[in-house]
Amino acid sequence: MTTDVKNTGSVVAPRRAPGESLRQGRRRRGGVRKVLQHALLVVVGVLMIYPLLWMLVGSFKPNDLIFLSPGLIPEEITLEHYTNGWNGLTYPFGRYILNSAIIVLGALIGNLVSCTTAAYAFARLSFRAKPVLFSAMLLTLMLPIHVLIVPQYIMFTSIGWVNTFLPLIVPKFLAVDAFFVFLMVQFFRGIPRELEEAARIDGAGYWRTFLQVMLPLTVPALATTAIFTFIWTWSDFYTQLVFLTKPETQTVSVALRNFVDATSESNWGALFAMSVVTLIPLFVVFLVGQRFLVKGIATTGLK
Amino acid sequence: MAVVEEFRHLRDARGTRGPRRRRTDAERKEERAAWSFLFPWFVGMVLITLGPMIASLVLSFTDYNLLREPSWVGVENYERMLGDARLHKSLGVTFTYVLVGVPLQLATALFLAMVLNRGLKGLAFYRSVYYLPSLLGGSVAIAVLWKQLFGVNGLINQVLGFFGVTGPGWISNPETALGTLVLLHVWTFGSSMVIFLAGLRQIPDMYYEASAIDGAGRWRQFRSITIPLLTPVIFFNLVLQIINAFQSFTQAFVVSGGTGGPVDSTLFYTLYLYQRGFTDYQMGYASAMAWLLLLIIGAFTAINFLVSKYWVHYDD
Amino acid sequence: MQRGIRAAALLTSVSLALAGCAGGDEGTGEGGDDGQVTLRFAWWGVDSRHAMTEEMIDLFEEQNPDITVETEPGTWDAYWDALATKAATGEMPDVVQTVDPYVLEYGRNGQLADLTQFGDVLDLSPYGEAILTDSSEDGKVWGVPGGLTTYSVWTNPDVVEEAGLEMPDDDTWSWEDYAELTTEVPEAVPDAVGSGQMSFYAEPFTLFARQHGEQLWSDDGGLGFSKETLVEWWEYVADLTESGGMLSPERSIEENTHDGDAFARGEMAFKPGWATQLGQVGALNDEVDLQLLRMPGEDGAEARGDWVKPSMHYSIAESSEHKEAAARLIDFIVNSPEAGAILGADRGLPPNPEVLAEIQGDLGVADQKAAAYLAERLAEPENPRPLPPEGASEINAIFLRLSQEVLYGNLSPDAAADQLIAETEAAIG
Repeated sequence: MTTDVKNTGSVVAPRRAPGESLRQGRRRRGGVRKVLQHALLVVVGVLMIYPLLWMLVGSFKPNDLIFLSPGLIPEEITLEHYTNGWNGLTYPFGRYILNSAIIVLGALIGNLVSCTTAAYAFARLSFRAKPVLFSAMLLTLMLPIHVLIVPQYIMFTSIGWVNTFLPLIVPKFLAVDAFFVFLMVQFFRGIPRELEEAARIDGAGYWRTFLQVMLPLTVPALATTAIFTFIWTWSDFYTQLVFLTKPETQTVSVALRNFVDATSESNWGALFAMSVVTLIPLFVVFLVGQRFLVKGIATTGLK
Repeated sequence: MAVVEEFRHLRDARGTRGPRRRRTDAERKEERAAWSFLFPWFVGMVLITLGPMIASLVLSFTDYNLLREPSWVGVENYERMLGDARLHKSLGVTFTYVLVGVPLQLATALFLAMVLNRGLKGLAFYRSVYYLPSLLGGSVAIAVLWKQLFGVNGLINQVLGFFGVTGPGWISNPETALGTLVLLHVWTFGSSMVIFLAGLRQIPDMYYEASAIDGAGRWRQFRSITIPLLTPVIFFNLVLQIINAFQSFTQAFVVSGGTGGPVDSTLFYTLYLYQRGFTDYQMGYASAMAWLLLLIIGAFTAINFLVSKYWVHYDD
Repeated sequence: MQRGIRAAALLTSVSLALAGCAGGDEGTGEGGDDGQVTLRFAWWGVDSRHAMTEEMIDLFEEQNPDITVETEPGTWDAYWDALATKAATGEMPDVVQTVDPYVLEYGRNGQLADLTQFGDVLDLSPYGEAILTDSSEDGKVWGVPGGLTTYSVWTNPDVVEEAGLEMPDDDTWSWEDYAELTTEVPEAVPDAVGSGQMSFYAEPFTLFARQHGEQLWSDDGGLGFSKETLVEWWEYVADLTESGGMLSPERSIEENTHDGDAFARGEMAFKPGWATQLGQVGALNDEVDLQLLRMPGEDGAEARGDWVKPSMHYSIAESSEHKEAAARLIDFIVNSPEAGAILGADRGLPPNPEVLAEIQGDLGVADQKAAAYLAERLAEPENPRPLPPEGASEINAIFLRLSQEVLYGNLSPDAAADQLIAETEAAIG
């Protein structure tokens, strides 16, 4: 993978683990400073995620105590919200997690395949319609979804796709997420042309060059796309609501709303508990993936 | 910034290749290859974006309540926008939100990105924790969490009460409600922070080392190295965040219970558009509103690109 | 004129043809060969309602093996936009839960089937004309009530007593009495609140206007009340809020959109609300003998102010291919005691008197109070309400917004009334 780059002598990304620094050795100062920095980060972090911590604690409190205190130490601990929340809806909550996971997986593969190829064409190949198409691509970033949804719904209904996962997955295979096309374009532009040209001189076609030379270099950017796709698809609400109406097809973000209703009593405890459950995969994905994320964008050459 | 370069590049490409000149075989081959790469994107563009987009443009000239066939009304919807006081109010709210919220969010994201850049153990964990609020995004739980913070008896007022100050009901007072949503926007700074982190990674250490030898302090390094070299990334974030902020919907929808209240003080443009389209069933009017929004965002983006010449620094 | 629209239609079909998948079987077209029919049924609610409804449907499917019901439960805040999107494509579920004035809006636009066509299959005889007012026009009935309710004042006698006050006589109390009582509550008990906010919904004002011999809508589809009445109403509410008798606008907004209701916590004496929703205050019902009182001002009013209305309806989509089966499902839901026993009073009290009589003994304490209160109201002579015109649903949002303007002091009641009249007339224009 990236060893190829090293061999050719060009440096695509600084190969340095997070937390390492060239300056570190020179700037090493007493441990006191480090401890202070950590303390500050912890305090600010706790303040920052106080609402989330409160929700976490609330998910373990009996319903009538949730709103009584703003403190983070529960007086009484119960797991009933987790069991009630998990089993409280038409299907066990695992079903909704599975549905979300299927959609996320489909969207992920779709974005990885289609946005990459489109971006490669925009970044590296010349063709006559490029200025027009590139502007059109930027323009699609600016469209509010709420007005497109009605014509889209009409279209997906007439081909019988409503209440299947297809309207949420197939568009991803058609690279409708312009953000990622844009991101990948930036990335490809950061890769030295010489690598490609060498391959071309060896007689490789455009597709072979793309697959064998460019794709291996894009791994960090692919990771970026994958993580953002995961997070955004997982928490997307509106399109999932409109296209999936049967309980067996519903996703976590839609199912969560069933705990809250303006016209009758809300089950806050269950909502908190299941919100925590749905946040865990997101947190883990980010925790694991953030290394690639930071690396991925760093190599896109955002300038 | 690549986008600017891109445009420059595209313009040049057009210049060097006049329409008269016959294209070579290689060029034609490249063109064919380009289309094979673009094919899925192009199909998606036409079917899923362009088609519905044109449909909504057509609908914007009709009276359409979703329940009956649309009927043509010409520019009536656009004329009505001129005299619609709530629309003007929603524009005011949205502009305030964008112009205050975006810079604040970017400043926060940049500051934390610099703190979390390097040099400490456990940064991966800290970054993930600081990203957490962004994961929660527009969840339904936000409504009640925000009340817990900013309600009449919320945490903020309890802290203020400790100092003998009686705070208002921040989310239910028309004077302060928008402010709490701006804070919510600032709070979800995660994605911008990640992009800033990436940008910081790109600044070669030798610049700092050289300036340290010259005796520059941290503040001067920040002003004369970090900021200038980071302007392309700042610009990238600015463009995308402005586009996003103009389209903000979920936060106001969730926190105000869909009303945009109190008294329209959090009536985001898209929220009003949604109310018109899906609560009052005036899809023709909502479509016209969408096109106005598209024009506004387009104008902002264009201005952004124009102004960027004066403050964004490029290496090359 | 129509060319543009046709162009849009053309464009859509061209897109479909390009996709190579135009035309189509939507997957709902179950062939009638074996007589098996699949119905789609959509409603809104929370998880507890979803569970009850699914249970009721299981029973229906057991008794009607030729019908399968696919359920589409939803939440209120997303129900009407999703339904409209489906209506736009002729894909409405066969059976839909509706509410006024949407039921009229959909009916008038040809989206709902006339329920009188099903004869014995869907028995409408238990429902009087007054009960069907909200869902019928020109002899067509677009919805069967799924529950009944009426406006009342939820009352916590413990708070009244703690404040050293007598429980009022709700047959005779006036608006002045209400103002006095509610103002005295916080004076006597600093942590308590006298009254819930009355001006965030149009219903209390509608009742007030009717007591003045007016209506919300006129017979010819315009506004049915005078500006003076509206100004008087807002002045009353603003004064009461000012004097501390009524919950402040800030806290009212929080309770409106969020959780943590002062009444449910036992800190409020009077709260205007739907009688059948008293059960929602939850545990408080076990601790306090809560009462349902009449809204003030009925005694000596020019006309009766309150009214009994359906809390929601069941309707059949005009686009449905299985209307007869849909009618059977609705008949089961509203007319069979077995279904009634499962659903209880969750959607309001059963409008079919036989069903109500059958299940009344099994209702919870709050629902029993509501049933008794409702029976008294049903026994009184009606003051019929004119139908809302098209676009009428907008008045709720307008009313809420302008009430807040008045309560925050941004607009005088007089200016707000002018604005409400202008905006509402534009909406129903």
